[in-house]
Amino acid sequence: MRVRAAALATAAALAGCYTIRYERRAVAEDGEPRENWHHGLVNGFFEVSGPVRLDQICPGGAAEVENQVTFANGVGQVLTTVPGFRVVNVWSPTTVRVRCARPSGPVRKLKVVLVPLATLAGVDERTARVFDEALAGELRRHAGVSVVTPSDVAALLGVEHQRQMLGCAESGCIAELGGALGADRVIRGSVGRVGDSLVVNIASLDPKRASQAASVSRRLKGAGDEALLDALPVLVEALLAEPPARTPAPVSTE
Amino acid sequence: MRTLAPRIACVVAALALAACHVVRYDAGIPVSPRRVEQTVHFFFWGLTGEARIDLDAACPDGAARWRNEAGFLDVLADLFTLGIWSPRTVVVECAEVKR
Repeated sequence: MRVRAAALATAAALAGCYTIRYERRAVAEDGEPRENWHHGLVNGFFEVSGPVRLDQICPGGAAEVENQVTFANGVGQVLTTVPGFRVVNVWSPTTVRVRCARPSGPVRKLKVVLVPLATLAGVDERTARVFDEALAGELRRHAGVSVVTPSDVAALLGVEHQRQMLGCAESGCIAELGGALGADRVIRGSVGRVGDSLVVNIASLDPKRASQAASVSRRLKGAGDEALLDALPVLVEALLAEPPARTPAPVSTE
Repeated sequence: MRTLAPRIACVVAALALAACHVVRYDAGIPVSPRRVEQTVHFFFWGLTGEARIDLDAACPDGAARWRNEAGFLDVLADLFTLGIWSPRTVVVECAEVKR
């Protein structure tokens, strides 16, 4: 009896143990995650539940998956421990929680022109060009996004246009550049250092409407230059997560 | 010595069994030969330590299958340290990219 009580206490202590969380850069759906017990026998040697079929749980893809030994799982494991041989439990359940990715609808095609980031104090030109390349790479990772880099502009429109592009700051100039390249968005920004902080501002502009579609500002406190590389996925996510365009109400012609 | 041998055999068998606790995940997409293996560290019987695996960082073109398991060496470390250090192994298999 005392042993069982100790075993239950152990199970209680182990509640919420061994949490392994798998994450994707997708926006998770709202609400509680889908939770299921995953059954194994003889210390999990036999995976009775089989693989977690994420394509069936989330046909549109999973955003987060978590595996944990919960209190109830721990009780199950401890109560089915082989008497006199506590290393082995007969039943080894764990809990799997899945959050599906929020449906994003059909893939949006977006042609993006990337204007080189302006360098402000404390960041040298060559480092900023590395940031440009990394930003272009991160943008390309998103489905439907094609990126036109400064070197592509030189190849497509000539060096003179590339030079103009480097100094492109006004909305008229941005619209002209976007129009010349058939772009849906023009992304430009700046990076600089203030004290120990790296400050980055990036805006996504809609050349057709001559307006700002999204912008993001981030202060990376006490960070080296490589911190910006780590922050790029979040920055790009914010730039591309634009509010859906409002569909105009149907107009009666009668 | 004769009475000790079955016990040792049992311990070895238990270790071998314990070394296979696995939870597998399948995204239902074709797998490429590229795989990423990572050891995640838990302490005090898993009470402390939380593993976060960035699947997009491991496989930029998508993860097809992955699993977390208590491998043989993980269980050995667990037993020798009496659970103070409880490593687990995560294996991610990347998706095949159609070019």
